[in-house]
This record gives sequence, C-alpha cells and structure tokens, in this order.
Amino acid sequence: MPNIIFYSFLAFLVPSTNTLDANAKDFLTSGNHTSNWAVLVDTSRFWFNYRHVANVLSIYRSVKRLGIPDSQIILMIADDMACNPRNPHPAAVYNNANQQIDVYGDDVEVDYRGYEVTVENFIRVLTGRLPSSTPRSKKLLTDAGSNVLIYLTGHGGDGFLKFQDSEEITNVDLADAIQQMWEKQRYHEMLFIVDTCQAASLYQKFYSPNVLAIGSSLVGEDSLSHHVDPAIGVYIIDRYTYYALEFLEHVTPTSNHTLGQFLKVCPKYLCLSTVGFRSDLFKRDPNRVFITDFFGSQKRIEMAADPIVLPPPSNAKSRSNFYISLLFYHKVIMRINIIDVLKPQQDEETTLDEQITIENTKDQEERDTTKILFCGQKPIFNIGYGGQ
Amino acid sequence: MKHQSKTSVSEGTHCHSIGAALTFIIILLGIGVPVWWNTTTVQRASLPLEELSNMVKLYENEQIFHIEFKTAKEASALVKKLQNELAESKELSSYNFSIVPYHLNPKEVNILLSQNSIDAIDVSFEELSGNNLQNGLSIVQVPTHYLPTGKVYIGRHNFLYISEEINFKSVCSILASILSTYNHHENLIANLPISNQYNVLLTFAVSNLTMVHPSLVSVFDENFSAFSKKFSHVSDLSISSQVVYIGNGHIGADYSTDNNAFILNEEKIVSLINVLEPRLGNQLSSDPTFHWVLYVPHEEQSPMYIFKGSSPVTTNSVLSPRWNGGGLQIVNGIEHSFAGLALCQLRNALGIFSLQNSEDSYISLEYDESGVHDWELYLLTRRRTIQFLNQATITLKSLSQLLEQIGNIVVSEEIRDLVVTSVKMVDAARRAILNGNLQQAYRDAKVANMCAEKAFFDPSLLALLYFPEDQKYAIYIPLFLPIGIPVLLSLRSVYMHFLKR
Repeated sequence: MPNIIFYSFLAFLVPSTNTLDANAKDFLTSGNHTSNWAVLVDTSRFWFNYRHVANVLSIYRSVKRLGIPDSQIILMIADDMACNPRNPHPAAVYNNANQQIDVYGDDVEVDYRGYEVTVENFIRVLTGRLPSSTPRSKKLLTDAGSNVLIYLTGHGGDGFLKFQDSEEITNVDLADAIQQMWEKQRYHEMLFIVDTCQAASLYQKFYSPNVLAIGSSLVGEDSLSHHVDPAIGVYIIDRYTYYALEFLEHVTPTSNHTLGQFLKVCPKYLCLSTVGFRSDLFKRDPNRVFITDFFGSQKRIEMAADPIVLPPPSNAKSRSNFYISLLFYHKVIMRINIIDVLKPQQDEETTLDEQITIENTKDQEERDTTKILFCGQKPIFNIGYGGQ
Repeated sequence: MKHQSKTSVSEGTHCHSIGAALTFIIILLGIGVPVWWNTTTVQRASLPLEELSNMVKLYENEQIFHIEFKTAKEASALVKKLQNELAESKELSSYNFSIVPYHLNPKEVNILLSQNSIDAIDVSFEELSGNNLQNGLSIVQVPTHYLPTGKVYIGRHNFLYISEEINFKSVCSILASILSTYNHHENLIANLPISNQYNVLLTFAVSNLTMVHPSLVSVFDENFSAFSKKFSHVSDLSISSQVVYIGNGHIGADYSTDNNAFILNEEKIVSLINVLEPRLGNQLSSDPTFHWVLYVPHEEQSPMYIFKGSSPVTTNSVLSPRWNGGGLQIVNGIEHSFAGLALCQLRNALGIFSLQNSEDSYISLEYDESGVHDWELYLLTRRRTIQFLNQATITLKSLSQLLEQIGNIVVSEEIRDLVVTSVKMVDAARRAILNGNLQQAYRDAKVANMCAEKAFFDPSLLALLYFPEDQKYAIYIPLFLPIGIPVLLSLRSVYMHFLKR
C-alpha cells in the first residue's frame, strides 16, 4: 500500500502542473524535494543604496507570490526604505520610476532588520548555530528534502561582499557555510543568486554538491543599476534584478518556465555586465528544471489513504469540552491549546497578534498548559496572492 | 689616572648595559613569549577522535529480531524448523532472528481453552503479559477452532497466532512483508523527519464560527489523546487545535448541477492549500509539525466535494507530500470517521504503515481507541533506533571533520562533554541492540542523537568568531617590533662583549 502511495505521488508530480503540454511533460523534471525555503539578504544601508532594498524586495515579492509562505522565508534587510522620511511614496518601494510594481506590497515580514544584518547572523542562519532562544521565524529549519534559494545583494568586490559598512563576508566563508549545510543535510538543492559587482567571485570557491550559482557580473566587471527615479533622487533598482523580476512576473505557480530560461534573463546588452553562472555542482540540467522548484512552493497533492477503523466513541466518560462563546476547548495529553481567530474586523488595516500563555494548573498529572492564541484579522481570501 | 678611571667607568656602564640587555632578553624570552603563547592559543578540549573515526553506519538487519515461540507441544523442534525456513527465505535470510522456545504455562493454556475467539485470546494474553514494553514478538500456537489450518493472525498487541498445523511459509511471508514495509526507504520520503518531539496541529478553517460545533472537536479528542499517550514511548506529541477564520471562503468551487454540489478539482485544492498555509501559525515551535486542516465550506457553497478527474474522492480529502504528509479534508457534516482518517495520515507521516491482509494471513484491522497496534510501534522503534544512531554518527563525524579543518575554533569543555556522551550513548545503544534490549537501545540512541545535534549546532562553533592564524601575527608583530628590535640589536653587543673576553 505505501508503495502505491509513493508511485501515485510520482504520478502526480507532473500532471498537477496543469498548463504543461504533452511535450513539456516528458521534458521537464521536478526534483523530489519536500519543502521550499528562501534566504533573501540586502547587506547595505543608507538612502543612496535604495536600489539594494528594491532588489531584495523584488525577489521577496516573487517567491511569496509563487507560494513560499513567510514562515519559510528569511528576509534580512539592512535599512527601511519604505518608511524613510525621504521616501516620497511612503510605505511603498517601486521597481521603476513609473511605479509599475510596488515590491513592498501589503505584507512584508522582515526577520532580520537594520543592524541585525551581520555576517555572523547570516552564517548562523545558514549553519543553524543560533541561540536556543531564537524564535522559529528567524531560523532556517530546512532538512534533507528542502530546496533553498539564497539571494544576496549589496556592494561587493573580488571575493567578498560588504555587510553594512563595517564588515564583509568572503567567498571562502560562504563556501564553508554551504558545505556545513550539506554535511548536516540541511538542503536538497540550492540556488544561489548574487547581484553585486564582481558577483562571480563569490561562488568561485563553492565545493558542495547540488548548488547552482548565478552572479550578476563576472570577476572584474561592475554590476550596474537600471535607472534613477527623479522623485527619489537615487538609482532605484539594479539591472540584473530588474530583468529577473520582469521575467518572474510572468511565472505562475503552474507555469513551465525553466531555470535555463532564468539564466538568460539578462543578456549583456541589457545588463551591461555578463551574467555568470556555475552549474558544475548541480546534478540536473537547468534547462529541464522548473523555476518553481526554487521560487515557488507548489504543493503536489495525492489522495489520502483510507481511514483506519476505530471503535465507536465511548460515551461512558463525559468529555470536558467547553464551548464558551466563540472559544472552544480541546483537551489533549500534552497541552491544551485554544488558538482562535476571533476578530473578523471591519478595519482591515489593523492587525492584532497576541499570544497569551496561561499555565493550566487544573491537571498537574498531565502537565497541561493552556495556550490562547489570537492570531488573525483579515479574512484570508481577501488577500491578493495565492497563485490563482 | 683620569684616563684610566674613565675607561673603568665606561667599562662599568658597559657591563651594566650588557646586564640590562641580558635581563631584557631573559624576561622577553623566558616570561613574555610563554605568557603570550599561552594566552593566545585556542582553547581546544580534546575530542575522542579515534572513537569518532571508528564509528560506522548500522544497518537494519544487524538488529536482532526477538521471537518467543509459545506452544503447548514440543517447542524446540518447531523452532528449529522455523529457523531453517527463515534461513532459506530470500527476503529474511539477511536478518538476525533469535527464536526462543517457550512452553505455555497452565494459565496460558487455560486462556486458550476458555476463550471463544482469537481476539479475546489476544486481549487475555496481553493482560497476562502485563503490558510490557516490546522487545520482540511472540508466536503463539492456538487450537484449530480459532484459526483455519495454515493461517497466521497478528493481533493488536505483540502476538502472532498460528494454527495447530503450522504453515511456516506463511509465517515467513508475513514477517517479510512487515520488515520490508517498515524498512523500505522510499516509504520515508514524504514523512516527518525523525525527532524527539512533534507538533500536531488540527485546524478548523471556517467562515462562520458558529459552525465549529463542539462535537467536531470531541470526535478527535478521545482518539488523539489515546494515540499520543501510546506514542509517547516513541516520541512526544504535542497536539493543538485552532480555528482559523477564512472570510466568505470564495475559493472558486464550481457548482455542478449533475451532482447538486460544489466541486473542487486538484488545481483549486492546491491553491487552497497555498493560501491557507501561511495562516496556520506553525511558528508555535521549531519541532516538525503535522498539519491537518478541516475545511468547513460556507453554507452557500456546501456541500462541497473534491473531485479527481470526473469522480469524487471518497474520503473528500487530499494530502501533500510537501507538507510532511499533512493534508486537508472538506467537512460537510460531522462524522465519526474523521478521526480515523486524520489519525491514519498522522500514522503514515510518522512512519507507521498499515499492512494489507494477504491470502494466508490476517492482520487485525480493527484498532483500539489509540489507533495503533503494539507491534506497529515495536517495528517503528526498531527502525528509529537505527535512524537515530546513524544520524548521530553522521553528525559527530561531520563535526569532527569541521573542527579538524578549522583550527582556530574554540572547543569548549561543554562541547567535549556532549560529544563524549554522544559517543558513549552510541556505544551503549549498539550493545543494547546486540543484547536484544530494544527499548534501552532506543532511549540511548535518542540521547546520543540529541547530544550530537546539540554539539553540532552549538552557537560557539562559528569560525567567524575567531581570529585566523595569519591575522594573529599581523596584529602582534606591531606590538613586538618596538621591543623586539632594540632587544635583537642588543643581542649583537652582548655577543661582541663575550667575544672580546
């Protein structure tokens, strides 16, 4: 029976991407990863580096639109451009002067901000060596089945990338961190993208398997920015990311764009620098890999197995179910959690995230705790993303 | 005279300066250098490197499979026959069976005579054995009227019943199917990773909160509590439930006049999961989480059914391998089977696989309220022991390799202690496996893995925190030069002085 489940899973890999035509079906392969994660880092601060924030938000927007939930995106941004007093469009970061796409969007969850964006924190996130008190949202909880997208942008040179104005990460540090991830089975496949000057130097030293690396420029080249927005007064996005975003905007969770196409998004006459990539460590042919293997989190589904037969519920014991107005109470062996979303509010702007933990002393024997979580606010289906 | 005194004075000062130079040299080399050397060397507690390099991967079939053969007849002859049969079997010859003959005692014989069905015998045997934790299976030979000739029956506990006329082939085939199902690696791809602690999050996604009737909750209550209690021998489960408000729930289900119902196809279901996932609050803890979502459609959109192609899915639910085997069920009315379905998926995600009945063997497919048989947990424990041990071994090896590569990382005493404990526990678990004490082996393997993980992910093990060797000299040389150059130069005069003499 489990074999049948497995094969039906295999059988579903391809058909569930609905727009595939018959040829593409045979041609494209989807890896057997089980989850998608993204680590997106902007390493530079200050107003004149507006473009780096716009870069990282462009990728953030795309991965989120294609289905990676915030809980699986580690977003590190060294400065807050959207709420900078110099920003003429408060709470918005646009990808071009015509304000085509607001890459800031409605719902950005920044995990590491400002001075938290350091080489140390970045390496800690990758290697998992974080203090035990770190919240889940700041951890990269990947396993041997996870595909990881790493995107870095900032100011770089031959063999290093500057973090803030005080320190830099070298290509050796990066290669070692990735090797440690591999050793501890923290990724299945990795897509490493870096948009910075001399970007190719950052992935030169990689030696871990299953990594595909893309750099916006070769060693000795500068990566250039796209254009200035006169209202903002600085360059607002880098060329490579601008064209990458343009490409990603056409990708849907079920489309059959490939990584091979993504490698060609910014030819030299557009980028003015040569986009370099390194595929010798990557086992699959990029031309045959769905871009959504890294940028999306397309759920493959299969039919559930038949239920097991349980005895009818015993009525002898009276169950301690309380139904207090809108809350309900669920008794379990380890914990009692009442997590509820109670407030379908009129005003959708305000959100209330509150977590109250109350020790439940009722049942000492089972060491129960009662948790009440109020998490919720907006009705889900009024939110624009979700890949329909 | 004057001239003479001048030379003696200058000779005196010369002696003084030579003395001073010698003192400086002695202090610098005798005290300064050792102090500098000792204070700047990297603190590295010694790791048991030899033992680490000797650690090897363990395979499933190295574990001993204990079988107690209980019969009222001459046991040892039957055991010998069974052993021969196992050795000849293709699938089983690589496994390590230890079969102990055992003569049924009067109490057990009494049970066999007094009960009226095989299930009743199963219950009585379990009561008699005192609910011991499992270190193996027992084969019990029962009178013919309980089991047809040549058949095999596995009950809810650790007993495998065979009829009076034994068909050893069917015993072998059922053992082979159990072992191959539980050790098949392809089955494990979409499962929850092994861990000491899991979260189970039941989510009721509703558009109208009054629709969450308490009976819906109580459907799950009894079974999940019982399952969690029984499973605590393997890992701790923390079960939570939540209600998520989903607005009016317009997910684009199509109305079908033929079925007089709303229909969701695969594509719609995928986007429904994608939309729900960020709202499920899995930020609760860092442990692996199993999600089971009960989607209660809006009154205007019910009943709602999941269709695969043109036919409805009988369970009205789907699961996603990319969600660690979690899934979603559409609830149109409250049924008792909900708990059975959710529990079945949870079992699969945790790696407990149901077996099918075959021609010559029966498996009890009726579960008690916990929804899991004892022998299923026994087999899971067997597999997990190996997984924990191998994971600990891999972790320790890559840790020692990392520390070997990067020489300037501090290895604190705590890390050393963790590594030593882990290595010890791996050894202890291996010994317990050889002695056939599976429960002990499992506990030790768990501790070994926990210590190894803790050591590997220790926040102090970050190369960046420490100075590379070459830079160390770059920092200290400017400090040494102002003292070092005069001292070195004075060495020359000391040498000349002694040369003159």
